[in-house]
Amino acid sequence: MTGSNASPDQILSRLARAAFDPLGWVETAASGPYVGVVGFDVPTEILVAAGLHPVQLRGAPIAATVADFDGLGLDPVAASHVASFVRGDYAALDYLVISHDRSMNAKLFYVLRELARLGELPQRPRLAFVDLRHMPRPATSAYNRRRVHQFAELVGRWCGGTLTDVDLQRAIDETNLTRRLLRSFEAARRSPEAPFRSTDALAVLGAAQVMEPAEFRRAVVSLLDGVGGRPERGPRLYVSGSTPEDPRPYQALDSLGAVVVSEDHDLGLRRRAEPIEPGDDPLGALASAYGTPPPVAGWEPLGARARHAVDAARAAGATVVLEVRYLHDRALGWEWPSMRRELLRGGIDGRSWQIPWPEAPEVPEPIASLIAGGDAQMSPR
Amino acid sequence: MSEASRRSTKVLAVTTDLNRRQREWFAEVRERAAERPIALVNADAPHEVFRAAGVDYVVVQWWSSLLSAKQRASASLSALRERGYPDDDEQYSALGLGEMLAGAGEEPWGGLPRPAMLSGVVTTDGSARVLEAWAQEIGATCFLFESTVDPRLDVERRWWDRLAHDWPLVLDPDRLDLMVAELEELIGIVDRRLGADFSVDRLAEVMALANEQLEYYRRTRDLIATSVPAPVSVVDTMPATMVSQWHRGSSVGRDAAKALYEEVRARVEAGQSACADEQIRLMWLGRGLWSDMALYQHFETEFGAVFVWSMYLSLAADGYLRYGDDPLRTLASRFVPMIEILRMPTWSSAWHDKEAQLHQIDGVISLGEEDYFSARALEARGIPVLRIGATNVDPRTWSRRGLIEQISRFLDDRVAPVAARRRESGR
Repeated sequence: MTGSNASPDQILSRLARAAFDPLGWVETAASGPYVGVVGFDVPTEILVAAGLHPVQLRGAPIAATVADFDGLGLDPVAASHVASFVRGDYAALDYLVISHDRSMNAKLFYVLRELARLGELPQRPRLAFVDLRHMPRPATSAYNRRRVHQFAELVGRWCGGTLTDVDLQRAIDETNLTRRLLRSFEAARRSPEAPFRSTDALAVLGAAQVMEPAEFRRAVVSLLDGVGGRPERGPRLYVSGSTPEDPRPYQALDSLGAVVVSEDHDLGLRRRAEPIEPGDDPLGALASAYGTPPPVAGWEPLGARARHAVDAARAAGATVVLEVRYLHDRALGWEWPSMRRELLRGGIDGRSWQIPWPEAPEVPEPIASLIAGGDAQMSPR
Repeated sequence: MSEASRRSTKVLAVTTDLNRRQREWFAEVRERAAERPIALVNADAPHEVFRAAGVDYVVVQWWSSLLSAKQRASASLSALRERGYPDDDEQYSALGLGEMLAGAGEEPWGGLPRPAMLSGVVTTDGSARVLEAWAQEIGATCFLFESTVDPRLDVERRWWDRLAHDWPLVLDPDRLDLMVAELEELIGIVDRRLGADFSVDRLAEVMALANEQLEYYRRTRDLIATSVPAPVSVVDTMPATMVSQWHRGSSVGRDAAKALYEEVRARVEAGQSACADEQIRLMWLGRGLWSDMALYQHFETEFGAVFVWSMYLSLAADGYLRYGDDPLRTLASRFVPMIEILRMPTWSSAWHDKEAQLHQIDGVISLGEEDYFSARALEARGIPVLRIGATNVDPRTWSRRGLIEQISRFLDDRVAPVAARRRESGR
C-alpha cells in the first residue's frame, strides 16, 4: 500500500497508523523481532545493527487500569506503560528498552523492575534500561560512552553474538538515510504552499520511529512526489513543549486552520536532524549523538532552550510559538516564564496551552482567537 | 490557627537548644554573607564539599521548613504563581524562591542572604528546573549533578546492612565514576567563583566527623526502636535530626547528635516516655508537617498513639554512613543511591518494611508519598497504612481538622486492634 500505486491519503493513513498505534502496526507488520522503546534517547542504531526492529511506544489512554497503580508516583503516560505491560499488551514485543530522557522514565524502570521481581509482569517483553545523561560536560560524555558500550554488549547477548563496527556502521548508514529524508520532508513542510496539514507532518515524523526504515522511506518519497499544495489559512505555529502521545493537539490546531511548521518536542527533528558520522568509533559517535542533542524541552538550561525556540521559530517562518504542555509534564511549567521573557525580547507571539492528557484537548478561546487572526498582536502570556 | 497554638511540646532540652543555636548560626551566616559568598544547596547535594572548602551553605528544604513553620507558605506560593511559575509542583524546594519573589520584608530570621551558587541533584526534572529558575532570577551560578540509574535487573535489597562498608561492591561503579568527576568539577568552580580553598585532607576530616555523627543517630534510632514505651516522638527527633544533619561533618553537628543520643539514653534509663500511656506506635511516612508539629501530639492524648518513626532519624541512621579510604569516592557513594533509598521501589519499600518491624509499628500514616510498594509490603505484614494525598508545606492541600478526622478514624478502625494484639503478645 505504500508503493507507487497508493494515493497520498492512503500513504498518510498508513503512516498515521504506525505513528499513533504502534502496537496495532506491529501486529500486522511482517518484520521483527520487535523492541518496544520508551524514551527518545535510546540509540536505536544498536538495535538495528542486531537485526532487531525498534518501535517507539506511545502512552495509551487506559485510565481505569492506570488507577490500579495509584501511589506509584508515575504520571499518566508512564502509568499507562505499566498498565499496558501488566495486562499483556506488549506481548508482541521481544524486548522493552526504556531510556532516561526524563526523570519519570527512571521511575518507570524501577517500578517495572520491582513488579518483575514480585512476579507480576508477563515474561515478555524482557526489560532493559539505557541511562544516557545530558549535561554538556566531559564527565557525562564519558559516562554515556560506557553506557552505550554496555547497551551494545547487552543487545549482542540478546542475539547470541557480538556487534561489530561494520554492523554498527551499516545501521548508522541506514538511519542516516532516514534522517536526510526527514530533513527534505521538513523543508517541504515549511514551504509557503505547505502540502501537509500539521497532523500529516506529525504522522510522518512519528512513523519514522516505528516503521521498517526502507518501507518508511518509500512511503515518504511517494508522498513528497504525489501531494499537491494546500493554501495556508491560519498562522504558522512553532510548537514547543510536551511530546504528543497522540495526534489530537495537532488535529485541534488543524481544525482551526493553523499550520505547525516545526516543533522542539521529541517527535520533531531536533534530535534527528543531523546524520551521524560513525568514523572508526561508531559507539562513541552514537553516545555523542544521543547524549548531547540540541536544546530540547525539559533538558537544556532555561535560557538556552528559550533562545533556541525563538531562533528556530524565525527560521521556520513561524509567527507564533505555542507551548503545548501536558499538565503532568511538570518541569515545563518552570521553563515557561523564562521562555515568555525570551519571546517578548524576540518580539514573537507566544502562548501556553495546557492539556490534561489523556482527556480530549480543547483549544482555549484566546488561542483559538489568535489563530483565527482576531488578536494578532497579543503578547506572550 | 496561630503559630503559637500549633507549637508542639518538646521533651528534649537538646531540641530547644538546637533551635536556639540554629538561629544564632543563621545570624552569623547573614553577617558573613556581607563579605563572602554563600551557597544554597538541596538536601540531596554533597554538602561536604562546601564544608571542606569553608563555604557557608543553607539547605533549601530546611529553609522551606522554617518558612512553613512561620506560616509563610501561602504568601510564597502566591508569589510563585504571580511570576508565572507553578505553585503546585516541587513546593518543598520552591518555597524559598517564592519568598524571595514576594519580597515582603517578612522573611523569618531576617531573611535568606542572596546566594552566589545553588546546587542539587537532578532527582526530578522539576527539582532541577526550580534551582535553575532561582539561579536565573538572582544571577547566581547553578551546579547540578546528574541523577543516574543502576540498570541491573537484580539488586541487593538489604542495602542498609551493606552500604556503610561494602558500598564498592553494592553500587554501580560507573555511577560512582561520574559523580566523582562531577565533584571534582564542582570543587574547581567553588574555588574559582566563591574564592574558596578546598582541601582533600579537610574533606577526609569532614567525612570522619560525619561518620561519628551518623553513628550517634544510629544508636539513637536503635534505642527508640527497641524502647517501649518510646522515650521521645518525632516531635523531637524530626527537628533535632533535621537541624543537626545540615551541620553534618562539623564538630557542631557531631556534638548535637551526641547530645541527642545521650539525652534519649538518659530518658530510657530513667523510664521516661513521650507518652506515659503509650498504646499505639505509629510511623510517619513522608516529609515533616512543619507548620503544625503539634498535630503529631494530638493523638498522644486522644489515643495514646505515638509517632515513633520518621525518615529523618532513620535515614540519618541507615542512609548516610560510609567508610572508605578515598574521600571523594566515598562521598559520591553517599549520594549516588540517595533517591533510590528515599523514593524508588525495591530499596525504599524494603527499608520501610524493615524499619516498621524494628520499631514495632502498629500503623502507618503516609502523607504525599509515592508509597505503592511500601503500602503493599506493610499491609501484607498486617500493618495498616493510611495514605493521604497532600503536600507537607502546601496548606491548601490539607487541613488540621481533616487530618485529625482521617487519622482518628483510621486509628479506631484499623490500628487499635493491631496494637492490642502486639501488646497482648508482649512485644
